[in-house]
Amino acid sequence: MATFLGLYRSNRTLVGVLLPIALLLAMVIVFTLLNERFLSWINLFNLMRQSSILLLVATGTTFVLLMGAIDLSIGAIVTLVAITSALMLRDAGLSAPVVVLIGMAIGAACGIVNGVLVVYARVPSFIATLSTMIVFGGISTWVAGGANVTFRNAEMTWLASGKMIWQFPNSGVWALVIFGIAAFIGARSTFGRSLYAIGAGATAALLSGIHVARTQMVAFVVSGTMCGLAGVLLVARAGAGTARMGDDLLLDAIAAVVMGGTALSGGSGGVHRTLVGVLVISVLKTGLNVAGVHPYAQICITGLVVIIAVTLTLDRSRLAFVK
Amino acid sequence: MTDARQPIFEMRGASKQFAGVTVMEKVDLVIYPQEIIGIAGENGAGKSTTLKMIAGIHKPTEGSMTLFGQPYAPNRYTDAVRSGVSVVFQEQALVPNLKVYENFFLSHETKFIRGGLVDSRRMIDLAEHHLKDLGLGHIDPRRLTGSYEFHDRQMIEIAKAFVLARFFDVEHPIVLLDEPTAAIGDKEVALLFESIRRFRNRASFVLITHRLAEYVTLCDRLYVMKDGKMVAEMPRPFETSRIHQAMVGRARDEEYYKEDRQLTVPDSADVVLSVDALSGGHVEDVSFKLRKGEILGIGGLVGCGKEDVARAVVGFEPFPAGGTVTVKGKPLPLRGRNKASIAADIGFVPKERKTEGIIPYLSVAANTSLAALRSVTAVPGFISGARESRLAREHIGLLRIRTTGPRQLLQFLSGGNQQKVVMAKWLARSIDILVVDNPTRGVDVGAKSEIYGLMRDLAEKGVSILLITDDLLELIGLSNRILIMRDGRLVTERPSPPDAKPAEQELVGFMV
Repeated sequence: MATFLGLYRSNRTLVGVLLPIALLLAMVIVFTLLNERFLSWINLFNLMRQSSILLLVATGTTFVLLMGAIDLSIGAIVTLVAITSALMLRDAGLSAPVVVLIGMAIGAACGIVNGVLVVYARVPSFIATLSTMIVFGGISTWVAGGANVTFRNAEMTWLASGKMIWQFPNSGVWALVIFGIAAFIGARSTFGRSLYAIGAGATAALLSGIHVARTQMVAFVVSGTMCGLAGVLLVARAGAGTARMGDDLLLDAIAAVVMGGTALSGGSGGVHRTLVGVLVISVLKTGLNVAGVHPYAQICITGLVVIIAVTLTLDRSRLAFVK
Repeated sequence: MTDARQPIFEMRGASKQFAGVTVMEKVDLVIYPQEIIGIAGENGAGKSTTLKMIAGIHKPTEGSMTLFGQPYAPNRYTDAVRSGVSVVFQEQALVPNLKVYENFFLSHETKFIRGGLVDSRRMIDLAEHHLKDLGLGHIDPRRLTGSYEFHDRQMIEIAKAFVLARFFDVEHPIVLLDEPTAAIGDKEVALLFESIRRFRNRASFVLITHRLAEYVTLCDRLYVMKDGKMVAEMPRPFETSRIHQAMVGRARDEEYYKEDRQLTVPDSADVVLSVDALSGGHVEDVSFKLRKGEILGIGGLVGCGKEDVARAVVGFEPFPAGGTVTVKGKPLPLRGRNKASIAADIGFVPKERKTEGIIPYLSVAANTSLAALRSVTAVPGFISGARESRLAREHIGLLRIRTTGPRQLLQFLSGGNQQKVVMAKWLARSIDILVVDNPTRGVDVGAKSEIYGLMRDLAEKGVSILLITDDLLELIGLSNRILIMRDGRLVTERPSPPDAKPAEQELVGFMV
């Protein structure tokens, strides 16, 4: 036991990478044993559909977390874009591609608001995005007029559930492609490097010529835009815009990013790691469903798994005080 | 001259180490009743550490202390206070939004509990009694501490020492004054000294100050520390020149600073950096020029403003905004000066390596390319791992950086090697001017020597260096020309050619 702990302590980074994957495999095995239907194509496609929204939001949020900030308004942005998209489809009769673009634009605009507050008004990101979360939420409710907004649009349905590539649901395809691009940018671009630098040593980064303000601004806009896209896909899949439909994504997204290995304090981890975190949460939720676990128990179990996973993988060597 | 009195405090053979670095070595110190002594020494000599040891803030790694004849080994400052030893801090350790009597008895309120409640009536009475006793009747213990002027607050802190000593039944407290005059004007200094003289028959005082003249005015006896050792004990009268001599007087190793490689920079050489009438914050009207290939050193005591000059050149906020900084003929703007200075090919090696110089959690390669990302991109906007690696390896070889490779995280390198990476970061950019602030702080001897060699290499290549340092020997050994600052002003300029280097005493005279 002692040697095991010793090995564990000295290979923290490796553990941080492998553990979520091991956890994922373990869950897949457990759920398949509980119900052999778990490992079927239908379920896989279901999983892709379920996790695509979360993947988009979590990917966007990873950019913000990497630089040591946080965006608490991500759920609210998704809801806002979902509802306004539903309204545009129902009342303005706009076509699906236009709605997608406008949805992303609204998301970007929300990101700009967040960015301006953090970068120019110098409000700490926690407070700034907490406030915008409330404001965006308020706007959604107001605009929806307190009722669900249903619409009928074949294009939109195709967007989410159509099958361009064999039997894979489109929403999953979009999410994976965008994730791939984002992961590449995060790992290899100068913008990505700037994010890490700001998260791991903002003063040193500034003194070395990194454009801190510009990078921060872009990160918030990217996060907002991804949420916008997620909102459009969400409403496409649901066929209606309902109040607070995207709000739960906030905690799931942050949990996914942290489980994937990106520290909340920023500077380490990466966009590519977020996929594993998203999969863990999605597999867990889908698996618990397929296994027929009681809905309330599902929530508790999900929370428990997140706590355990983060406790084991978090690299505390960088935290002087655990707050 | 032997002293027939009995000492109230004795420190014998006290040593202190921090993480392997010795800051105090076998220090002996004695305090007699009713006297005012001083501890003099330059930056880093160990006087502040000694004071803190007497106050229980640091525990000696070796050696012992006795107080009033009993063994004295406080675990915390509160223990020292209970034994009758108090510190008066430079900016007071009083809580401004509490009343005076609350500050007096802060953390000792449990002694005033009556029927489960704190008896503030008794606290106030006690406070009033003592204040009158000390001749400070004009201070009302019920007023907010922050509402008093600086001088009165200093008096409150001194009174607190007496109040607490008496409270813990100590007749004759020891009051330690840690640079009490650093932030105040002549009038307040005079008031403070007058008060101290008034109290001297009921307490002993230990004074630390950077102004040698103050030791001469106030102290009965003076200790001098150098490099962590107690090197002299002087009774009145003291001469400032003798104090200087004791404070510095070391042999300088010319080879260490590679003085034979020092270039001669003619007056006709191009001026690459010109600072004119720089002012703001602590700095007032500082002007100088830096020539191509020159190493210009700025020295002075902590707080003299030399760090602010460096910040003004590189645009590291906050920096003194008045005056102009001109680089190669073009003035640097006020807003965005940071980016402008980098664009003007100025590199900056900051004093706080861990937070301002390196990014500990990123690799050697990432740190090296940080200021030159454009040169390691193959496709615009995307970093080429191969190019970045090559850049890192090039500089690892050039600067002899001891590391396992470009991918090692910087936190695992030693201080000296980390500093080399900071310099590599700027070399990767081909700079014309390098501003360095204490480049060898926390760096081992071997790495120091290599960094000096590197600076000579840069000078030979035509890079001009602005050297800010607290290390006097380094300042003298490396520089072509030396500027000394005091209280925000430039007080002297002294050429420093290899064959006619100034003596430390000469420069110290201008600093204090």
